[in-house]
Amino acid sequence: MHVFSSEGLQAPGQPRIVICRSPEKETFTCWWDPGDNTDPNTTYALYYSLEGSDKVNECPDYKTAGPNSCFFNKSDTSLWVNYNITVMATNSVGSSMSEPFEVDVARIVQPNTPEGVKVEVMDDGEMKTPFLRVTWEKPRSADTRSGWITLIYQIRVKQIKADSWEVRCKPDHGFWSEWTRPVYIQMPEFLDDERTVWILVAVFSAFTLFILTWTVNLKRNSVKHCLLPPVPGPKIKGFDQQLLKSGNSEEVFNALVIHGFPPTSYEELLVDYLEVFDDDEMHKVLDSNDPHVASVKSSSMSSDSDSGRGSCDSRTLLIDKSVERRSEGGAKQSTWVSIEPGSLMWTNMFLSSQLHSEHHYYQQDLHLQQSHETKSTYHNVPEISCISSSGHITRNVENQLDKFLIKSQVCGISDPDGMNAAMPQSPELQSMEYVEVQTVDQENILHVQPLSDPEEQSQQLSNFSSGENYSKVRDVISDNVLLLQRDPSSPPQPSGESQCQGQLESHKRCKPDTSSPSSVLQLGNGYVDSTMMTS
Amino acid sequence: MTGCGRCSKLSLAASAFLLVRSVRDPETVRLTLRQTDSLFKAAGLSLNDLLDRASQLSDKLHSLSTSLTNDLDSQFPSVGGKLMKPSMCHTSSLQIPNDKDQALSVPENELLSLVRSLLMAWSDPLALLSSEATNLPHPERSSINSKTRELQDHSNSLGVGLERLVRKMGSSPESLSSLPFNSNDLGQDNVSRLVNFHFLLSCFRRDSHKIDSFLKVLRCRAAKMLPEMC
Repeated sequence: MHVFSSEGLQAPGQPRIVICRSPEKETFTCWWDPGDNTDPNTTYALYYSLEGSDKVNECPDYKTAGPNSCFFNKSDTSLWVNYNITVMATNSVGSSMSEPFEVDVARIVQPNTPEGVKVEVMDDGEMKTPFLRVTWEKPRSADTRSGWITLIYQIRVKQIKADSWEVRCKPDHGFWSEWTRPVYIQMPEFLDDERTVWILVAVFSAFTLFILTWTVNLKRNSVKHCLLPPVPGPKIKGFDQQLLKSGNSEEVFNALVIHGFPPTSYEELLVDYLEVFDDDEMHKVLDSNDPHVASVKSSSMSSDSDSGRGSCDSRTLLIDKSVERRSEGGAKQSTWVSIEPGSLMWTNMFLSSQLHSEHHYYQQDLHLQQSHETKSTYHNVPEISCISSSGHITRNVENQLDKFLIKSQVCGISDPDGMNAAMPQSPELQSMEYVEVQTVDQENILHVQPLSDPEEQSQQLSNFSSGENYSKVRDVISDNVLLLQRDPSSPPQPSGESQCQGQLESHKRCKPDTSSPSSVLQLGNGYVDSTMMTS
Repeated sequence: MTGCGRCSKLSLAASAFLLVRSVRDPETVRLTLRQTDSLFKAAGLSLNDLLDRASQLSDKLHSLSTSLTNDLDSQFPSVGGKLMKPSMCHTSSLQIPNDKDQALSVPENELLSLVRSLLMAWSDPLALLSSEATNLPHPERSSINSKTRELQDHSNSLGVGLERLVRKMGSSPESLSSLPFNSNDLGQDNVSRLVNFHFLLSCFRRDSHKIDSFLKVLRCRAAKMLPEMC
C-alpha cells in the first residue's frame, strides 16, 4: 500500500531483512535492506517477538552494528528460541512492514575473523630444514574457553611470489567466518637434504679419486711391478747359488764344469767360427822344424806384405807339419791336432784342389766315406784320411818341396809370369779360410766346413756342374792316398785334365803334376775358386 | 587424534546398550555383536575422555539432524515450521538455560541431567522417525532413511555414554524430567506424515544443539586443567 503525501512524497518501500548473525552465540545482529526509499527522513524500526509469546519488542540497539541494523546484546539474546522479526519503515507519508523473519540464534552463528595471524620461518635444532609456523588467535569475542562456542579453523596458502596465508574459522555448527587479511612471508632459500647428500657424495668421490691418483703416481713402480711382474731370469741347471755365495770360486767353477761337460749334442747349439788363419803357429812350426823353410818363410815374411802370403805359407806349414806328425805317428793325436785338422785339411785341400768352395769337399767327403767308411756324415771331412792324404801328398812331393815352396812363394809374393789375375784373389782366399765347425764327434774330432753362404754354395754347385775348371777329389784309394781329379768337363785345361786323368792310373804322378810349377801357374784359376775370382 | 578413538569406543558401549534395550533389525544386531566385545575397553576412560566422546557424538547428532532438515527442505521448503510452531515440540516444556550466562551457571550434574532428560525424551520419537523414514513420500527417502537410522544409533550410543558419565561423575543421579511423546504415528496421509516428520526433526535439531552445547560446556568445565581442549 503506497501512501502519497501532498508534496508528492511516497510512502517508504518495503524493507527486507537481509541477514542475522551471531558471532559468538551470545549476541546477534540483524541487517535489513531499506528498499526503495527516496525520503531521507524515513525511519526504520525493528520489532521482534519470541516464540510462544505475543509480546512485541523493539530493537534494543540500532547503533552498535551500524545503519540499518539491530544489535541484540546478551540479555536480549536467547538460544533455542525463535525470534520473529519484522522491520518497519516509516516516513511522513506512511510506513511499510517487512516480511517476518524467523531466526534461531543457534543457527546463525558466524564468528568474527581470527586475529593476529603471523607466519614465521622457524629453524630450531630438531628439524634440519627450516619450516614455517603460522599462528593466529581466536576471534576476541568468541568464548571458547567455557566451551560455549567451539571453533574450527581453516588455513589457506596462496603461493605467488611470496606465500600469502589466510585463516578463517567456523563454529561447530554455523558459518565460516570471513578470511583474514593475507599475511605474506618470503620463503628462505635452503638446500634440501637430498641435494646436500648428493653434493657430499660428489665431494667425497672427487677426494677419493684424487687420493687414488696421487698414490698411484707415487707408487708407480710398485704398481707396475705388481701388474706386470718381471720375467724370471733363466735358471742354470745344477747351478748352486748357495755355493756361489758361500764357497770359493774354484768350487763354483768346478760345479759348473762338471755339470756342463761333456755336452751330449752340439748339433743345434754350437755354431762357431774358427779362424784358421794361423800365422803364428805356422811361424812357430817353421821356425822349429825346418830352417830351410824358415829361411824361406822369413824371406817371405820380410818380402810379403800381401795377404796372399798366408795361403802360400800355410801350404808350406801344413805340409811340413804333416810330415812331422807323420813321422811321430799318425794315430797319435793331441788336442792341438784335434783342432788343427780343419786348417790342416783345408790346407790340404788348398794344396790339392786349389781351394775352391766346399762342395768339392762334399764330393771328396763322399768319396772318402765310401772308401773308408769311417765317418757318418759326408760333411765331415775325416781328419785322419785328410791327414794321411796330406801325408801322402807330402811324401810324394817331398823331394819337390823346395821347388814347391819356392813356387808357392812365387805364387804368394810375386808373379813373374804375369799372374796378376791370381793376386787379387789372395784376399778372398784368405777370407775363405774360415771354416765352420759342423760337429764335434765323440772322439774329439772337430769337423769343419768352409764358411760360405748357402746360396753361394748352390751357385757354386751349379757353376761346378756347368763345367767350370775345377779339380776335385776323385777318390781316396787307400788310407794314404787322396785322389784328386780335375773336373772332366772343364775344357780350358785339356792338358791338365789329361795329365791328371792319366795320373789316375799312376797315382803317384798326379800330385806332382798338379803341384808342378807349370801346373800351378797354369792353373792359377784352378787354385782358387773360379767363381769367386770371376765374380 | 585420540578423539576419534574415543568416539568409536563410546559408540561401542552404546551398541552394547542397544543389544540390551532394543533389538529391532538384523543390521543393529550385527553392529551390536561386532562391537560388544569392545565394551570393556571403555571402562578405563577418564571423565574427560568420556565427555569428549559424548560431545563428539552430540556434535554428530546435531550435524545429522541439520543435514536431514536440509534434505527435507530441499523438496518442500515451505512445509516445515510454518504449520507447526517449534514451541509445540514435546520437549519445549523442559526449562533449560537459553543463554551462555545461564548455561555456565548451572551445575555440572544438573546440566548433565538436562542432557540426559532431553536425550531420553527423544528415544521414542527417533524410533518413530526411523520407522517412518522407510516409507516417507520423499524423493530423498533413501538418504533420509539412512540418516534417520544413523541418528537413532548415535542417540542410543550417546545414551549409554551418558549413563557411564553419571557413574563416573559420582554425583547422585538427578531426577530426570519426563517428557512423554504421545504419538504413535506421524499421520495417515502423506502430507501430514511429511509435515509431522519435518516438525519432529526440527524439534530434534534444536534439542540436539542444546545437548551438544551443554556437553561441550561440561567438557570444557571438566577440562579446566587442560585449557588446550577448549
